[in-house]
Amino acid sequence: MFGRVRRRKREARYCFVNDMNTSQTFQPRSEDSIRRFLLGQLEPSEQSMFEEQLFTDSDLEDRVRLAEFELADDYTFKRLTEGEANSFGEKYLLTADRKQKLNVSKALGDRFMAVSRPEPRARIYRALPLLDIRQMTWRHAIAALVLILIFVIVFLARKEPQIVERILPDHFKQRHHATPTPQEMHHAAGSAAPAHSDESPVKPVHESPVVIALTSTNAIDQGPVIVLPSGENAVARFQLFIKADQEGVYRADLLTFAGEKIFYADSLKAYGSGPSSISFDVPVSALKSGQYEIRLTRTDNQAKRRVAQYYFRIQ
Amino acid sequence: MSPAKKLRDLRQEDFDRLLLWLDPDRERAGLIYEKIRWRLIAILASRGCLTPEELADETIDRVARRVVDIQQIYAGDKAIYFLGVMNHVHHEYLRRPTLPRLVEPHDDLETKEQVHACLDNCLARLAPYSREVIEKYYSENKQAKIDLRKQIARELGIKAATLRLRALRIREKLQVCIERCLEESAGGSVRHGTVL
Repeated sequence: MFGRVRRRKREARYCFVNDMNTSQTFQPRSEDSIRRFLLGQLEPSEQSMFEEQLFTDSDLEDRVRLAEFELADDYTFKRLTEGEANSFGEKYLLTADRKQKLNVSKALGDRFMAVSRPEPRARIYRALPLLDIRQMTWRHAIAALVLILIFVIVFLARKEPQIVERILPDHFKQRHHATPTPQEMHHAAGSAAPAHSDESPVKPVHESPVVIALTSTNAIDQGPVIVLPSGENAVARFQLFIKADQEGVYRADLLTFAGEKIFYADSLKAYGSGPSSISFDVPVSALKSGQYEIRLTRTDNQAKRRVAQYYFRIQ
Repeated sequence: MSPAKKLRDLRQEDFDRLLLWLDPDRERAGLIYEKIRWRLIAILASRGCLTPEELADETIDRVARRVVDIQQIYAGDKAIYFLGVMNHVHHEYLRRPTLPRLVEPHDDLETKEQVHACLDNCLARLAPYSREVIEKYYSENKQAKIDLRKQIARELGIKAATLRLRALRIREKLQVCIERCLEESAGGSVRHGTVL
């Protein structure tokens, strides 16, 4: 029995301390307190303090009046939390005067929010003035930057073309067209054959093949001496001249001096007017220093007769 | 029941005595009366009374009837006396059976149009600077409320807190103007007037 009384006294003291704490920390004139008053969300002790202050403080009354407008605006523009919006309906919107305030807030929202809605980007720019690229300063800066870039590109293109070549995509690059000149190894019949060397320069792997033009001869020692380019993928293009009006299909066999066949090309056709020629490519790797013979055979008739033979020497 | 009707129920001499008790200057007494009534309504609404205006008028009615007894002996802030009477009225209200809250009818289109027409009318009567303030203040995006207010305040060359106060003061003027306009339009046509 006495224990229960003591507990009640303790509880009463506890409530009192709580009230004291509330009264010490509660600021009736703060925006938060005014808002909670209007929404009926103040604690009972806060409420009585606020009411007394409202009756004696004209400034507080003035602020509450203004806060009423703000609250109606916030409700209209959906700035209230769910709890606040519920309290707004239950505790705030109870008088004709406040309902009229809400009507005006809605009308203001319709009037001005509708005007400003179509340009959300402009709002972002307004909120972030430093990033607004429509400002004159930004325009000048961008124009200057573009000009500097153009000057740098032009300078590089003129002074350092290899850099431009590296940057440019393949289809924009200027192609190097190899224009090999056929070298005719022609010697007058019966005359002593001069040591004929092919002066073809050593070319990179990806370049066009070296063209070696050969005329038919019966003498081995009359064949030209050829210097082939180095490189694993280098190719030598043999251009064999034949007599005019010998159109047909040919086969070329490449043989060593010992008669060993090291390469052949089939289904070759003559081209060109007047003296025609037949071309075929041989990998340079298949050719070593020494004497060689090319036998040209016509294959489009049944006889398959040998048409000509060509000699040359690799140095 | 409207406040005016309630007051008509009071004896005229009680009401006159009340005003005189509040202030010998009748006009100033009227202002004090309006302020006290507004405060009573605000408090009763905050306490969750469903009919704060009626309870406020009931409070004023009771005070008016008692003035004859207390005017010679009461010392202190007269407004506080209203607060004490209002507490009694509120206690009585709480003892009454709870009435179901009436469902408010939605605003009809005609009322909405009237408010919009009056708003346009009252906006047109605002001074150019006031109109600029209110236009910028209400065209802000709800998500970026604080940032935009700072931005608008910067544009207008004032502090954000000042902008808020100015905008709300203009809003208050607009409210008064619109209410007057609505009363006029209920009785006749909307008139264009001078700058607010």
